[in-house]
Amino acid sequence: MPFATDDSNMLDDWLVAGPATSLAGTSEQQPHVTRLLGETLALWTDAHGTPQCRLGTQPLVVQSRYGYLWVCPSGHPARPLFAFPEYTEPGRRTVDCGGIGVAVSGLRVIENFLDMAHFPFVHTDYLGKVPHTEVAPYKVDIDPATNEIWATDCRFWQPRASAAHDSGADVLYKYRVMQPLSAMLYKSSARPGAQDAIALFLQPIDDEHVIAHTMLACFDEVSTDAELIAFQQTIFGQDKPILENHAFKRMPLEGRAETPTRGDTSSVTYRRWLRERGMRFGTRAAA
Amino acid sequence: MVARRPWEIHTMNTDPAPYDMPRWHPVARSADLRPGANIVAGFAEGQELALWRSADGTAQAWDNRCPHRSVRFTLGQVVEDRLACAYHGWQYAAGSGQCVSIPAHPAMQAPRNVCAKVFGAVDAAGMLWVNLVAQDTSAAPPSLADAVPAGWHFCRTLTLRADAQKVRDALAQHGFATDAAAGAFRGALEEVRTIALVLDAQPQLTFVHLWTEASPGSDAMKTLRAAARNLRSAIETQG
Repeated sequence: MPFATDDSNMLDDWLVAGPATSLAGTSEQQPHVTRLLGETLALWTDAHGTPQCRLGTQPLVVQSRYGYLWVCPSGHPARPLFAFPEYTEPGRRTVDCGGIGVAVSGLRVIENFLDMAHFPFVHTDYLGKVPHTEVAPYKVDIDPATNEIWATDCRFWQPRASAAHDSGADVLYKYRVMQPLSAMLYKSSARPGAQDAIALFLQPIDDEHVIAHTMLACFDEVSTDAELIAFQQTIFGQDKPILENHAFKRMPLEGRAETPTRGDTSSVTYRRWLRERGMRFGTRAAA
Repeated sequence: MVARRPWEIHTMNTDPAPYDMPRWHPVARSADLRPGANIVAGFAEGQELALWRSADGTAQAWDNRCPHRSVRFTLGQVVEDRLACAYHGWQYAAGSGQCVSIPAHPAMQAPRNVCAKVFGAVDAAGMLWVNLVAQDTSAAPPSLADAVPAGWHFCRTLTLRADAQKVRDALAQHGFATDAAAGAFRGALEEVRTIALVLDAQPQLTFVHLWTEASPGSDAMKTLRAAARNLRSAIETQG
């Protein structure tokens, strides 16, 4: 394979290659160009409106789902793309919040996405505030039908929980990891009893670089798209300098290089889940 | 020619180079670290350091990495005699590096095995010196205090894209001589008397702290600054 890794966890899965809107006005002669696993892909829509993809002269399998383009590098996907029912659920707004480059292993970005303990320190006055620092016990399970990780019963005190909230509240969260580089979170929304969904899809450029694409599927009827995007980008902008300052850009899955604590159950489960599937891409070899 | 140094007793050093020894590295100017305030990034032999002072002024040189998730300590903040990581607010005690607070679990005592890696650090002659091997600061040779004469002034720190050995060789070629004080080079640039403290930061990166008897703002100081730039160009462009 010409790609920068031979890890089947990457080659035999559906990897996001940017928003579907990037194909507007493209043709085989004037394709959209993007990076994936160390290679440059050409993407365009043909005369039937079907997305096409090529690496050099070699055609690659591509599909357009959930507002994004998904490429399977080997052409032999081990499983279908995960379900994202909220994307088409009536009453929800979907908002593409853009792609942001991050110079770190994507595994670090997903782990950060699953983590509540950093809210008071990294997202001060937005998603948390000292002294409300405690992470209460929550449940983490792996769904045997889909092999997805679910963290449930998560709750955290937040001073300003979303663009629609302007006062402090205990916010309920659920997290879901569908692929090594794709995760969702569900949190209390403006509509009682319903939860907003925020999807994080990472486009792997190489072992130490990703483009992080964020998609909202929410019930907010007050905020403008610009306000929702600005809030997400503010939050992500607070995480980015932390993520890019891991002394090890790649994530250690084994050994004692890093020490978790009780509230890191999601992170510990995610690392074990990656280890059990033999993940090598974006990982640091044990010292 | 070379005075016997206490830290050489345990080594079987046959290399005639006087600076090949368990080294106290001049990592930063002492005045750049304020008690209980800032954190400075440092380097020595490829080791990244977080340099800071506890509220009582004691110098700290730590591996620049939180044991929890490896985020650099230099993004964090000093809280009295503790260093707090920017990511999750875990706090570590000056001196031992022992974790003393995990805010996610306020009622839980931090486990003893969570500890920052701590290196030996001492202030001497206006510089902070770090030893990557010895944590015990009492092992620091008294001669460090003689590295820069009293009353001399700091000029600048020169950053060179070159290995430290190449920089030392170049200083020797410019007539600089090392004395007993941990590899301080004494000499002159454009006839301005100068001491150059060489820091082996990492491969292809060397810092040279320049001290001089010239007064701040004097013509001699300006001459030295220009000479230092020329020296850097000469070293970086040669072979």
